[in-house]
Amino acid sequence: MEKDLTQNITEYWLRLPIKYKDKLAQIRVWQSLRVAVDNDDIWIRGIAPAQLHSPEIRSIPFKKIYFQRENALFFLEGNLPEERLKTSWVWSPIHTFLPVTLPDYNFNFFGIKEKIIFRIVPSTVEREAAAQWVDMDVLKNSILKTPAVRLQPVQWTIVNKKALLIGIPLLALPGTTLWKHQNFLLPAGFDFEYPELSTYFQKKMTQSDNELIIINNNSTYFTISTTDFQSLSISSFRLSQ
Amino acid sequence: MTLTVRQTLLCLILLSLQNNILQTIHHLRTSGHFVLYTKQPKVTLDELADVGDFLAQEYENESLNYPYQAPDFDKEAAIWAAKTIYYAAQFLAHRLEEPKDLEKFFKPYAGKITPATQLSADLSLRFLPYIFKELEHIDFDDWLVKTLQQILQSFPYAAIGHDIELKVNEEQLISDFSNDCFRMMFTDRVIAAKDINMTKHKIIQNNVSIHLGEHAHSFWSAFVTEV
Repeated sequence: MEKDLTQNITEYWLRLPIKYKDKLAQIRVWQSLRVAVDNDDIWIRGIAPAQLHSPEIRSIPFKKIYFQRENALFFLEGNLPEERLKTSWVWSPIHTFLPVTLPDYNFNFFGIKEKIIFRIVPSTVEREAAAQWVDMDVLKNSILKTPAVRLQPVQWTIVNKKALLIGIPLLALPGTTLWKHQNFLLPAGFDFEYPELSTYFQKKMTQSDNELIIINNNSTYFTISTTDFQSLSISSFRLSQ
Repeated sequence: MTLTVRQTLLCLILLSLQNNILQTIHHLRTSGHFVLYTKQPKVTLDELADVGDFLAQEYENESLNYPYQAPDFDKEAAIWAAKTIYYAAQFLAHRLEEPKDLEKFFKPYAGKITPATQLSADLSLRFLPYIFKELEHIDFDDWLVKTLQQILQSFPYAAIGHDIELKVNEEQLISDFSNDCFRMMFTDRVIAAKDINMTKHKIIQNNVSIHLGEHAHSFWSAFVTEV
């Protein structure tokens, strides 16, 4: 039986007419790709099998996909060699082949006084809860029945007559949960409006690294020092009553 | 050197003020070290009464952290336990007194053993396994080893986590476990010490798995695999 030519292929080749060079912008970030120019065509090699079916590759128009076997290039799913390898090709990394040009600085831009307001927005991404708000009454009724091993990882403090418990695994109590990102505790089901800016917001909102920023559902926030947290135990609860 | 009458009196007062067993137990409870201040295994009733008051205070502090309603302090048991561990340490360190009248020193606990008894006695008895291990290390056939084993047998709560071979009285345990506080404390200690031998007993195993719930794997994976 004849061997399948497409076996053991580790990279694919892509050929694109040079006038559609701009269409490659979306795969420019893939560091493994190398590019060579041959007359009116661009050749790209180093496309991994997993990348071949990605939307980035599939959305490039007028492309031809090849794979290499010995000294010849075959069309994808083709059986006859189409091209021979040329030694004259000079390969360069794709990000040097397609340099980025930044727009000129706009000296007439007067919008520099604009501010970004810190906001949280509903999000569908699932996050693991790291903390929870529990009513003191609920805690009071359940803590006496909770095994010590469950209390051990939990730290707690009281804010506005409500207990804030931090530590995984959380106690199985009714209460609203929060998830943690850097020093932020956000209500579950919400995310930053601009997640990229969270580091800057954290610097603005806190004086030191050991402060937690607790964000309310209406995007207001307050900070608590981590030294204000106590480990949760029955005696610590009884003494807080 | 001659002492004036006044100095002699002062010395006498100081001597009578020095309560050896109280000092030892106090030091044990606060720092975990066993310090003996005399070679004489002797205690007076007055000294024991002071020890009892001290332990009552300790129990009150500790019971703040007990789940449910902590049982009332059992002074008898606490004093008995303090005395037992004090003598055990004395006989571990030096045996000036030939062990001829042993019952005088190591009487088994006279009263009924209840959750209150176990928890009160545990204030001092929790340190007994260390002395027991040390004795066993020196001579496992020693008379004291056997005596202490008998004692730990009837107070299994103090022996959790020390890998001591005990025949735990399951019926006693079942009746003690009807006390919520004691059941929680016992199970918590088995989990904290990861005492897999204790979980051989059905009732302990059941309670441990209730405590661990669905987090058994993260808290104590050996319990999931070996039991």
